[in-house]
Amino acid sequence: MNPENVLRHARDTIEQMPSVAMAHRLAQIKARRETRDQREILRLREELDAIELDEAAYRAGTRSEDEGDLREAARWYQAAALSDFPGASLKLAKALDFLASEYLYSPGPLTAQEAELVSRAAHWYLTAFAAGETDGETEADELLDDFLPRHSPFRQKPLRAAGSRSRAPASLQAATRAEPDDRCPLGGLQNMLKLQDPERHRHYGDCQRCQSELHAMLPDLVPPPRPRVSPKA
Amino acid sequence: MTDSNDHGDDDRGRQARMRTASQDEFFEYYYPRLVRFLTAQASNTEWAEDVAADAVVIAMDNWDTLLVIERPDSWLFKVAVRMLRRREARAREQCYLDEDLASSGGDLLIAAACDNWVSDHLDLVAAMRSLPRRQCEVIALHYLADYSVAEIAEILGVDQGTVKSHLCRGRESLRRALSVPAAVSAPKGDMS
Repeated sequence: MNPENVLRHARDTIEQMPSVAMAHRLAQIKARRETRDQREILRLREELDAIELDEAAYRAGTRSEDEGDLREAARWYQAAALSDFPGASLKLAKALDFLASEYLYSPGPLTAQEAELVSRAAHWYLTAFAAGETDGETEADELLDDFLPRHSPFRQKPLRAAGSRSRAPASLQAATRAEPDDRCPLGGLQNMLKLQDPERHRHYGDCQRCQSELHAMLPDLVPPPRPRVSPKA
Repeated sequence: MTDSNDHGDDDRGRQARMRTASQDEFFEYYYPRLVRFLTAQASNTEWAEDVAADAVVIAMDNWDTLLVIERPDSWLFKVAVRMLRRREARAREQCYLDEDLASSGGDLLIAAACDNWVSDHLDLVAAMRSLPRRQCEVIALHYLADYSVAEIAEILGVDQGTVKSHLCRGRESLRRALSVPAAVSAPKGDMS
């Protein structure tokens, strides 16, 4: 089936609405506008202001990024991403990814601050992926592989040296090293992410293995899998 | 597929500006397009209608501004799609956005019962709602609202390359989604 033909047919009829229904709807809207109170007036004014602020935050993030201040850029991008401004989630994820990568070659175990950066980068990569802002296979798969950013389009450094895998928290290493489980027909979260919606969403809702993996990766953001209720005999 | 509607940008812009001479004519022309544009991509049909109404009121409140800008219609669609996404983002953050298949199927039945256009294009609306948000926005703006790549880039605040990328992926995702029949079917309804 050619989707463009279906879309064109839908477009050709999109303006068709019974004139009585149209007049009634617009009359309702006008009446609502004329009788609204001050709170309603302010609500809509704030909506418009918020839309402009989201765009301004995104532009400020872009400016900070161009100036090389990724921390400032991440703050602005987050403000825009929280409102689902197009592109903000991915920009934020990449900024956090790069900030986290600064710690890759630091000695010692991963600190709480470093783990939080990684966790936030993973969260926003997945958010961007869910919104369709990225294929996801490059960024999310690499994060899933070892849960530490080892590749970023901003970074000029080579891939992480062998042996640095031990810096990832043990629980996260366990999640990414989990053996394929025959309870997940796809073989785990990494393969699930390659599906498209609604199949992906449907699978995640049914699969405890994938829920467990994602919870292990993002324990503060993702609840543990819901226990299965056995059918009564 | 090449985007062949760029040559009509000037004409559509001129028509949109002419319609703003009459507020009633402007909204009578754009309101059905706006509400169905939003319905095709919203997780909740009621929210789509609320946002369409709010966008119209905001446009009325800012009518003087619309009279002097180049494309008042694209301003209206930009405000509407941003309001919808902000609302859904808040709901998602607070965990009360039902994006699962059952909820969207039930919501689609309600939309079809209220609007003949949705009922006539149920498979398409179901397929569009299953797309990732960015792809759905671009597909809806390009095919349903008839905006060019350049105009969509302006509306969404992204570059044209990103729009083309979302358009390409969106078409492919839609092709796959349309190959699976919609899980719901509904009797035709009247738009009232």
